[in-house]
Amino acid sequence: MSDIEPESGTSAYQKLLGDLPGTGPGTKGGEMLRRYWHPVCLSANLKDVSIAARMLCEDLVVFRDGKGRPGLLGIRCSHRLASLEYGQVREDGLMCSYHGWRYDSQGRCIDQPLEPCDSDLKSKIRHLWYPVEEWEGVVWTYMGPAKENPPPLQKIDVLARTDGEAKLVDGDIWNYNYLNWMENFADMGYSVILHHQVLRDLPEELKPFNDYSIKNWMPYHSNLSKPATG
Amino acid sequence: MKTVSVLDTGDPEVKFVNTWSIAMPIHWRFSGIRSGFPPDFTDERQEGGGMIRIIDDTHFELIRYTLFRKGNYPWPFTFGLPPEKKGTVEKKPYDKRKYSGWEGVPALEDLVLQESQGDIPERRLEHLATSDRGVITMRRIWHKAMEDVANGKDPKGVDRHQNGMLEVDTFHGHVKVNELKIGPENMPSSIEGRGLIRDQNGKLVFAREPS
Repeated sequence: MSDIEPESGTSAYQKLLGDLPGTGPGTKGGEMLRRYWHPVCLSANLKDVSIAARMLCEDLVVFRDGKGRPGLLGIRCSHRLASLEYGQVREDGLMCSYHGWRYDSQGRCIDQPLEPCDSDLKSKIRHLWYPVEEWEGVVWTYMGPAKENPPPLQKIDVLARTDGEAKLVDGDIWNYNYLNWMENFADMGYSVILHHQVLRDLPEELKPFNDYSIKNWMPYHSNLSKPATG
Repeated sequence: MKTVSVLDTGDPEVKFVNTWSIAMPIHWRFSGIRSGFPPDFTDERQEGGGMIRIIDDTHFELIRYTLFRKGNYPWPFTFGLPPEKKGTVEKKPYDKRKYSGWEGVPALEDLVLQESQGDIPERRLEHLATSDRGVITMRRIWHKAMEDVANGKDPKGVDRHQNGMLEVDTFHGHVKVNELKIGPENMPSSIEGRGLIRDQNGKLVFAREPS
């Protein structure tokens, strides 16, 4: 950073820089992100216990009903706002543990056990829900408009390949904006500096096949007594 | 989006090509097939990458994925220095920083330096340079996507009329200068072994003939 003050005003570029990191509803970045399918959790982790899942600034709960179908609902029960993280999985949906309101995976309220038998209140409740799909070991959701008719899930090739075994590892949570990470992959130059990316030496049996000129580009590392040669 | 670096090798006729890929807005890929090995060599065909679960403006979860293919050589061959040469920065007793210099652990290095940019970086203070053309291109793509959505259109990568696979492949290896053509018409690929592999005579061979 220099002592040059950022330009004042609202040029288009400055506006863009302000819009880029947004992920919440109503932000320009967040609305763009909501047009894509996003991973919620790994299928293997979604058993018969609901899981709180904050996604794109929205607090949600993911669950698998008694028939094995995944669902994604707003985390606060529409009744008295108790957390559905503590909900109970039922055959056809998720039941709030507080007063028993029960929701199916499309947010329809299907039971209110403390209401009179002739009450039609539940038909007027539509709880926050998002469509989900399971594909290749991942539960995905689409949080954009027209969620009854979302675009097809964007399938990433490496998870569907049959010439090997795909391994998924989750749980690594980082505490800054996602674009800090994504911009990394448009910025290959840093790898040579930060990671000291070099090529290691070859196994003997592969040397006949290799062009040794590739070893000449290894960067010299100041902490080594000589240029790294594998 | 594909990021490509073309590095000198010392031989003016040969370049080293490395590619990474981004599929909007959350997928990244790296370490695809590498040329210079026998056609049936598979250890280097480890496909790495991952995706982000965006939690909110200042938190995300990495979900890494790797495709492992059975190899015919038992030990891994990867980028990076041998283990005995990693972590060569001497940690001084009064150095209380999270990171003191190169330690040979890419995940730690990425975490510390990206975190240090700020949880939401004040990008107006940046001074972008020639080597940041990839970052600039990526921001243009994001900008276009945001504008498309604001104008009622689907952004890049969303196709309501297809249910196809996103091919987000990568490649790294050496390529002769006269065969080097950066662009979608001749981008080396790792899909099913397709791409630039050389036999003992230096000729290109294909695990599967390109269609």
